[in-house]
Amino acid sequence: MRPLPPVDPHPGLAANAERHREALWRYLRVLGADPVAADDLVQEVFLVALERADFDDRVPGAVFTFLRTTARHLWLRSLRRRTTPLEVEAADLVWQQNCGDGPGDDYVDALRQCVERLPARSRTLLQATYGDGDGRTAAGARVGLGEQGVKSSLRRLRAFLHDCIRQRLEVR
Amino acid sequence: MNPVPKLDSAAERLLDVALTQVMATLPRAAPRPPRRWLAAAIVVLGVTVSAASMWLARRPSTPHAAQQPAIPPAVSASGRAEIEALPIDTQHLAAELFTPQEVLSLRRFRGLRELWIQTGATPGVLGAAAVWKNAPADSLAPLAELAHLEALHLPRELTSALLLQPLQRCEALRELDVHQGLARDAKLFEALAALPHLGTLRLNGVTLAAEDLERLQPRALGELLLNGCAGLDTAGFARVCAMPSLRRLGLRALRGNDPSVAAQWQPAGELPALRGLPHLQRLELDDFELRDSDLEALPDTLTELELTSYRGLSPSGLAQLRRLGGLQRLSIYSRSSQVRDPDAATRAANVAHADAVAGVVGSLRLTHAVCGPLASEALFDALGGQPDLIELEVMPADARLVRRLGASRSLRQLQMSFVADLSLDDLRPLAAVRSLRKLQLFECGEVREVDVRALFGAEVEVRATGLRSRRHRVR
Repeated sequence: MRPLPPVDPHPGLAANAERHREALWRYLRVLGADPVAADDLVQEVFLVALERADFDDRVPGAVFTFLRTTARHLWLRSLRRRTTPLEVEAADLVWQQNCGDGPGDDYVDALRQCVERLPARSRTLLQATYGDGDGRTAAGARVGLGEQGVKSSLRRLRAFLHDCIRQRLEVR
Repeated sequence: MNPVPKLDSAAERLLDVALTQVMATLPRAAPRPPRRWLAAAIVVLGVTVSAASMWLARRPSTPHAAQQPAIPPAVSASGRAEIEALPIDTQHLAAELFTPQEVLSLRRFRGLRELWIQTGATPGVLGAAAVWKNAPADSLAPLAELAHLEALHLPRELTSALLLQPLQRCEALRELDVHQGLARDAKLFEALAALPHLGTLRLNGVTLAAEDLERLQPRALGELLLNGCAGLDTAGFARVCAMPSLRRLGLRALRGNDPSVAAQWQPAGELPALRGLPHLQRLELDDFELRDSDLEALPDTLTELELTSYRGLSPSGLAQLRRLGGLQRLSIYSRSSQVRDPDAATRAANVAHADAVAGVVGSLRLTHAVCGPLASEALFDALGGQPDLIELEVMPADARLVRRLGASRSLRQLQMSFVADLSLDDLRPLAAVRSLRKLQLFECGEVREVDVRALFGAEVEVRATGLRSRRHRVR
């Protein structure tokens, strides 16, 4: 068995581990990883960081840049021939445009504010779909919509949220 | 209608995944006020719920379990490689770890609800066991990231005041099971008392003193189980009986292993203090010297009683249990009934106890019963006549009980051990019990598992282990 590194050789990394973990997971999903693969890769990214004796965790911005780059390489390696590096680079560019070099906290904050301003019925639909993982039928039953109605509403809601987030990010 | 612009797929994924994370943390939208036409339906629903609650109140209450779906059976994994091969959504895991650092491999299971940790030493590596003696103070810190972890079972190598500290951040942790070595450690109890949501505490082999139990009092425990814990005395028992939130109390084999602790404490007339526990429903007393008057003191709130390996009680004293009309689960057998090759006097005494237990069983409506080696015609009649009996565990000396159970309508699970003369014909009446789903036979005569399966069919899970069964498998 490969010897494991000490538990916490990088206290700066550990201090923001949860925040970085969520952002990395988001990033890997943007690149196209499914939830399980994203979970595994996040774990692997942290292991790589922990094993790097020369990894400097004292510069906050540099930490996430390193983690993000590592995640991208690991994702590319795991894909082998299933998709082209070009697609991954394009997805990385989308991340760059929306989240910059950081973990994308501004994007998430903007989304949260946009969601909070939605009518209760729209939030219920989002909660059912994204929070509780209900299918279209079950989610529709909670707001009195059929499957097609749910599909249309979600498409409109997502477009609205996308615009809302962009406007908020531009203001900042 | 305006056309809705389509997002490119990466931007769509970013929005989707961010929405999933945000919706998991946002407060839910307030539900719509109920419509007028719903009012009548709600009243009807309320009545139904009340009736259901009253019915459910007959069962031992497990408030947390009632709110959450049941935890699935555990999956086992040994070492980091096996653990990492498990699905990410594993909820119940029994993990064997070879170094403290391997705890890190557990944090990917974000939905983990129950975890058993067993320590192992890397085969062939000298000094591998020493890594546990020097486990870093933050060895358990990765578990604090498991937001759904409700129950944790720790080995002695990971049980110390220092190692338990990170668990204070476990928001969902309600049940802890720890094992400890010989020496008493007062700081261990400070660490346990600091776990903010602890409701169930199981201490195994932990040497304790009255003041240690006093430290636990503010924790408002619902369940406290002391297994093989030396050091409990009259003062300590008084502290336990001053924990009014207790619903379950287990005191088992309290002699412990600590040679510095004097002989095991016996409740010489102190059991009436149990009446200070107004919510006590489950009581487990194992390996105690009891007096008949002790049984008079048992609170009538009990729904589950384990009175095992007891000494000192007379058959007439056992009759006191009849007044516990709410009992649904009863495990009862004397120490003398476990004696191998008993002499004639012991055999006669055991039959007298079995008859007394028969009287108790006959006056209760039990769903679960464990009678150990106690056996008599009267007891078999009483068990066979229990209309609600779901689960039965017996070690009878003969097969008479099996024939009596043939008329049962509710029995779902039966475990029998050491029925020396059991034959396949003896089991035939049981095959008529339509409710039966699980049959376990340990060391039962010449019965072969393959024949028992054929007799009971696919609906009954059969496990038969014994000399003949083993021979059959070898062939």
